[in-house]
Amino acid sequence: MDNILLMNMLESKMRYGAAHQELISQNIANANTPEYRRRDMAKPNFKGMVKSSMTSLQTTHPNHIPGLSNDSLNSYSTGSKVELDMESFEMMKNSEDYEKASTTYKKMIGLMKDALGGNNS
Amino acid sequence: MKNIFYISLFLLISFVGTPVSAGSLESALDTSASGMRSQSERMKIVTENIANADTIGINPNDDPYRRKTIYFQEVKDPYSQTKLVTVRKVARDNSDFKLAYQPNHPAANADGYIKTPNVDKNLEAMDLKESQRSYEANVSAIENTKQIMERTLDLMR
Repeated sequence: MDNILLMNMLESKMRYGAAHQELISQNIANANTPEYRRRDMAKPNFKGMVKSSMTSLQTTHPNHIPGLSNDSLNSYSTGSKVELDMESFEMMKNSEDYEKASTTYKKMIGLMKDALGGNNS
Repeated sequence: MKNIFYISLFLLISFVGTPVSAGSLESALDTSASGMRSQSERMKIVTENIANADTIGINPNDDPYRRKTIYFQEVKDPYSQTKLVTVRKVARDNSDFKLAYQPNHPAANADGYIKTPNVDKNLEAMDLKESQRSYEANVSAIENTKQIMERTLDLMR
């Protein structure tokens, strides 16, 4: 059960990473657009991640409250202009984080395969 | 043995759960591609300016080449909701023409001056450089996005 929770967290981190990558791409593409202001998004925090991984209430009626969703991927505009070097750095950091999460995810799948005793290649 | 295989397959599928969305990565690629397109359009305008830096009239009343400027804007693709960059407009630089003293030129006015284009070659060269840098930044953004996509696909191996 703990493993599934951990994998959910990794998954939400990867989802964050993909959304962040999109945002950075937008910033870079708009580096020379006048009146464009750099966009950023809130970093995922541990508490929110645990909460959103644990609560997944099913709704059978439109008036039901679905519980906490991990849909906190909203971007906001910072007031500053785009700086290419800063964006490149952010992008590098982001893809490294993504790689970390995906490698761990893959490891967990491997562990589960091991535990199940299937012929793991 | 066969049962164990099926159970493990079922468990594996249920553990993987909802797939990591690849939609945002694909739109990231689209955004970067639109950035490259806009930057190459800008390079076209800048090179037009440089090429026409000496284009002048043949009569005293003729205006020489007027420098072009380009503006970008951010648009939202109505179908995919992807945010793209496009060229907003290509305008003309309304600053004054430069004057050169060439009394024997057919386009010279009564005082012996000809009007030359309001193109500053140094400025255009810097503009071209900046455009090139932005283009490269978009290319590396695409490479990075591709790398992340590969990582995602790697999970299936």
